[in-house]
Amino acid sequence: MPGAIVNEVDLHYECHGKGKPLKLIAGLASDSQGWQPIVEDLCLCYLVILVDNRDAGRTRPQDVEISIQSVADDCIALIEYLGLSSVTLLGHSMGGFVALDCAIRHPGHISRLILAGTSAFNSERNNALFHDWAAYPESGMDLEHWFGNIFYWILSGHFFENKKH
Amino acid sequence: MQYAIEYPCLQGNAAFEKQVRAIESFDCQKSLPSIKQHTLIVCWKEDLLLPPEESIKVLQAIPSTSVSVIEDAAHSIHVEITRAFTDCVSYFMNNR
Repeated sequence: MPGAIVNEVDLHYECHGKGKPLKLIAGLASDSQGWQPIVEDLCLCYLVILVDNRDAGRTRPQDVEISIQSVADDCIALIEYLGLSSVTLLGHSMGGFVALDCAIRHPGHISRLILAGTSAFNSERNNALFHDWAAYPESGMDLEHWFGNIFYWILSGHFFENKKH
Repeated sequence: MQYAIEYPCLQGNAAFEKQVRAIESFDCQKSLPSIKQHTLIVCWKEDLLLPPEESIKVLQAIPSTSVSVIEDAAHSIHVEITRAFTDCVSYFMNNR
């Protein structure tokens, strides 16, 4: 799968299907692969563009500075690199922040917005929680417990009930 | 769980921490009324991190919005009730 050199980052991206362009932007700790369960459906009708945000997935290097604005700038640069005049942006969680920033600072590149499980800012409760998640590995927590802790927050009660059966 | 642990491109802790700080620094509430694009707000009824009522209240400062709330699922949109989500996206893409 290809990479695009934009803003001094080798951005890993993937294009699936044909049709109106629909660019998906992942949230915290997630990357292009996280979208796989829905890409199969969406690429039947649309050109689905996936990307690994800077500091995530296969995008290199992994030690660059990051802000919502820098991820948005990468997003716009990729749209231009692909020769697209405008796209629908679908952002999930942190990706919604990026989609909003693109629409605010680069409105000409964005035809529609889809904001999924997101807001215009993060609550103080969530900021504290995310800092705790970042600190747990340094305190010796193993990956299984780290993911387990996060899953309680991001999966529904139904998910755990169904696992019982 | 096993897939997550064994994922070869798992984000490192330093990068995770940088994303957390980027999220913390962002707030675009004041600019929402300037957004011209029609916007679909999709929420998940059991989302504990970004509860629907809070997200909708904030994001409806965007002048032109449609809202969809998906039942029986939480923040991880990639895992639960994915067909309901893709149906929402397709309807929006085809009708707006």
